[in-house]
Amino acid sequence: MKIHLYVLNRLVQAVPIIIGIAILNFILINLAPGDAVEILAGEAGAANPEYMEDLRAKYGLDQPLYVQLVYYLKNLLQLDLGFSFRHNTDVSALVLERMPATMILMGATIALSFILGTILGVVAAKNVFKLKDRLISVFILVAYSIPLFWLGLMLIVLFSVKLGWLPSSGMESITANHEGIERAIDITMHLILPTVTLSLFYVAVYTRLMRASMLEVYNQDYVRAARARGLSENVIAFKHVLRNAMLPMVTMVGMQLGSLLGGSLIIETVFAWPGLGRLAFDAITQRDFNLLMGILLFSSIFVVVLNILLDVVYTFLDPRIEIR
Amino acid sequence: MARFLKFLGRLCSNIPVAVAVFVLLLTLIIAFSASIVFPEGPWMMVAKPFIPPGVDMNHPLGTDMLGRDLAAGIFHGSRVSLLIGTTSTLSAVVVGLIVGSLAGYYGGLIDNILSRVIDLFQTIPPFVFAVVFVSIFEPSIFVIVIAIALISWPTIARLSRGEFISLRDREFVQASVAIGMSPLRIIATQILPNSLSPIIVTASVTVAYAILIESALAFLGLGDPNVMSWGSMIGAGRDMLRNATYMTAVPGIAIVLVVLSLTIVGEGLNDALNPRNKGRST
Repeated sequence: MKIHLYVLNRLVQAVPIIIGIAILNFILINLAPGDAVEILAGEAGAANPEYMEDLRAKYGLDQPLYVQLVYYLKNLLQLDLGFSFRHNTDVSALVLERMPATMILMGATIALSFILGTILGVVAAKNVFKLKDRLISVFILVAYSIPLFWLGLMLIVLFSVKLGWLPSSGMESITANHEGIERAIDITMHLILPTVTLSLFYVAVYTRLMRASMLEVYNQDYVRAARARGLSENVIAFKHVLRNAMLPMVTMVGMQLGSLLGGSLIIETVFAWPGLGRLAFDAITQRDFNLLMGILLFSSIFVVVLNILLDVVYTFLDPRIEIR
Repeated sequence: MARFLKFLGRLCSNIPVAVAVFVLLLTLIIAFSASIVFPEGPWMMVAKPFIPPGVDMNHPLGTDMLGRDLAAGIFHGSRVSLLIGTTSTLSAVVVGLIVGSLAGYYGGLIDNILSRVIDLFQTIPPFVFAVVFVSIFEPSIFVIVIAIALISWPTIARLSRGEFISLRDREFVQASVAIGMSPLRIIATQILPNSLSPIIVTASVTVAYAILIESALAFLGLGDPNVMSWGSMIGAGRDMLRNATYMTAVPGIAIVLVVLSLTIVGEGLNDALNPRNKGRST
């Protein structure tokens, strides 16, 4: 099957999940105490009942629930995530504006943790049950147990306050007015602390997976055959085992996307990184529910779409998997 | 009881696991003795503000910017962490087991529908969902427990579904069907006990996960405003990060110790319950 047909097919399969998420979102909105009109009226001070009825009629809130649901889904089809009364703009515009910063942070984190996880996993698997492996296991346990936001704060104290090496907040120095390459360096410096913080947990995840995966592949017949042919341990590890052990890692990237997005939400608030997470945090403090629901829905769809892309990548990495 | 003690002995034969069990028992004692040791509660201003840890022996962990004892906060906060960690995991295990066992045992259409629901919940970014859920319903311990249970049940459901699928065609199940046992009784009394060990292991990790999520929510200001938790202590200490790092460091260390112990106990349980998989857990 052609690749674009495959992608189309997967997108069609994703539709029920996205509709499911939208319905769940809708249920949450309606379970919430009070409706948008009450919040608006509360803002405006005293509002008389007639005015509130008018507002309800204007936003369709006087209709039965299933009619509202149909409207809601219809709006979503037009990529209309609703309106943020606080920011006085469309939610989708706000979300799209903040998306690039979050994607930079997520991309850097995936790259760093994938590379470090692969290296540590290989080292652990080659020295299984020896000292290096034990030390790496201890590292994994600790990394699993540290609250990332707290780690971020401690790194700020060490690297920004005490040592003064790295900036502690924001995405670039606004006053510096850097251009071109200087700006890129400036952003990279700002990116280091949040990326390292967010990566710690995922380095542990990938290391553990890589170790297990390497050990699994070491048991395969073709590895024994390679040994019998007298190949060196290094050639076996890197040419025969590593390449095959990488496949589950790609699957794991897809499985961790949702959790990564949540992790980036909290890391962004620690480092004042101007992405989706920061936007969500502001929405929480301003009780901007439309915006919050929009962010939840958008990030879910984002995870679904990225997973489809990863599946395509996967078929390139492993030719045994036919596109169906 | 004797069997349990024997099992505990086997579990603690591994030194790190024994230390972790000790830390958890200590945390339990701290949680239960909080109102005896600090009857005035965590909010009371008891001394000068900004005493660093280790200076005043009446307040060994120091005081915060309002002169509240950090140790009192740690003691009372441990209750919140443990309460939320255990109740949310318990609810997640109950829901996960029901969904997973029905899907795994019956298969077919029921499995199809329930698996889609599990997929749905696994697609939504869990922490983002918890944040939205708690802020919509106003933070309280009850709402936070529900939010964490809602994001952790799919893992348990998926796991128990797999266990049930692998066990449902075994001979002892066929024998139970042959003697006319009802499906519910087979699920509850025949398959469930045989599939419990991986679920127990996962549950211990889920408690750790729940404690981390609760602290993150509290840090974002989404904790129950009526109780002091370790996460909210970190959130409050954050403003003083540059001058008084200990206010942030102390509750963070408490979280790390408890979560680390739970993780180690989870590994220990895995090795003790599935000796064949020793050292191969993923």
